[in-house]
Amino acid sequence: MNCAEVRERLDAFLEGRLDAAARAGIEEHLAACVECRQDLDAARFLLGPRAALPRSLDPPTDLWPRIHERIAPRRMRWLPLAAAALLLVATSSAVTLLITGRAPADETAAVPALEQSYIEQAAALSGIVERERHHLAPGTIETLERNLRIIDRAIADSRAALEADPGNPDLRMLLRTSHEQKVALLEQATRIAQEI
Amino acid sequence: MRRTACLLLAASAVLALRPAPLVAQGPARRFAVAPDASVRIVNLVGSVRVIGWDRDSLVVTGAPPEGGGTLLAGGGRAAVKVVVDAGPLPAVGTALEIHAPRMARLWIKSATAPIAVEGMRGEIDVATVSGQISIRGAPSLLTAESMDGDLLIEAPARVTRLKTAGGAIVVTGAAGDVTATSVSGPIRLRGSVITGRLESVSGEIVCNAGVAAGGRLDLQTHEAPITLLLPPGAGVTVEASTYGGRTESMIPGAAGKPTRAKAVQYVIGSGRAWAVLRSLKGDLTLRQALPRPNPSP
Repeated sequence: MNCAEVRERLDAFLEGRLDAAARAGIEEHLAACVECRQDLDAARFLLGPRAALPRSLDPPTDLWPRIHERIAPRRMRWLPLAAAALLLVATSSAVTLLITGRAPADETAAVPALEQSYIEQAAALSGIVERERHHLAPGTIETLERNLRIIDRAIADSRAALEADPGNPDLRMLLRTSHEQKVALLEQATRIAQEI
Repeated sequence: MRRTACLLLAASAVLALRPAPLVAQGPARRFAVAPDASVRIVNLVGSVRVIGWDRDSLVVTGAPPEGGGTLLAGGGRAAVKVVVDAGPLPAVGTALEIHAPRMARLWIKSATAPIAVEGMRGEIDVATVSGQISIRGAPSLLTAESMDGDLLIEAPARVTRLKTAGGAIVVTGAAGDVTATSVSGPIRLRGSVITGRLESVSGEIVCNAGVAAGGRLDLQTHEAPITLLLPPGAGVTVEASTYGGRTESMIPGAAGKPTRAKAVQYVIGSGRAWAVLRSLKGDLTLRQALPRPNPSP
């Protein structure tokens, strides 16, 4: 399964709508592809607020008569179009408000989930690196371990700062970046161990 | 800090002085190839040097010394593969020199072998564990990765992706979209970009770059300092946030305005480009870059 096929099915994957074979195919691809995992995280992050939305939104029923009343005497044909656009904007705004109105709480709640995903990825990759360790040169192992320690310290620092200030977007970004760097470094080490 | 400065100085010196040409010995092997042929090279130990030229042929020079394995080279017009087959980590390395059409697509892998590429204009994808990567030219797309080898890039690519754990990244003459990430290695960028993202955990970042109007720079560290040098007349809105460090602007007339907790915004000139500096513990500094000398006529 390639990246395009995986990304096409991410929503179905997250919503549990795939059969076992398709699910296994995606999981196998995700284990090796950091970009698709990032897309998965993004999709997972959006899924919470999106799932809470109603399946359809009825436009406000009392808006159109008033618009019609105002525009009818003028016999201007473009105004219904403008009104329709206005309705569309109003509906979109309502949907946006619905999402963004909940955003701070949801984002804060999503932090542990987001971390959990990276922690799982890092653990899986660490297992592979450990198994393939004998393929790595001592100098490479030393570099890898030294840099992993640096990243782990950064993750701990960022997490502590975020716990003190949970809604802070900069801290979220710093924490996320540190996790991404850890996963990327472990992926690089895995590739080196398996290919060289 | 002193180590970082030394590393950057050393990297700059290497970039400026150029490494001595790698000497490849042995009979040359020649292939007629398409101008945009795919060229894949694997040489774990020794050295790899690729030179772009205006011919529709590929020439491989280099022969493994005794105990250095076997050189395998073959393919067709569309793709050529050059591999030094010597087991996981041979005791002796092979110096490979390859002349390739400028627009060829290059893919190179090494373990400790330094990789030097010059004069190429196609896509370049190079990876090494601890060898130094040096790229000069104008590739359309450049991807370079090392575990702790330095990445010395003097190649204004449309898209540049650089990654290292412990090596230094030095980019000169950047253009387009640049992403450079390290864990502990310092990152230095000098040039003009449309978008740039430089990230390090503990490596210092020094960015001396013009940013196109509407462009964006993201500079982020965990604990290392970040210095942004802006050319005279730059129009950039800078948002700087650091939690344990301090933020300082040495740009005349750029007064900081707090925007949210720990974040300060500076509007410099037209402010039409964006720069975001973010760190948990590192100091953030804005400075005026010295005017660049006019290029020689």
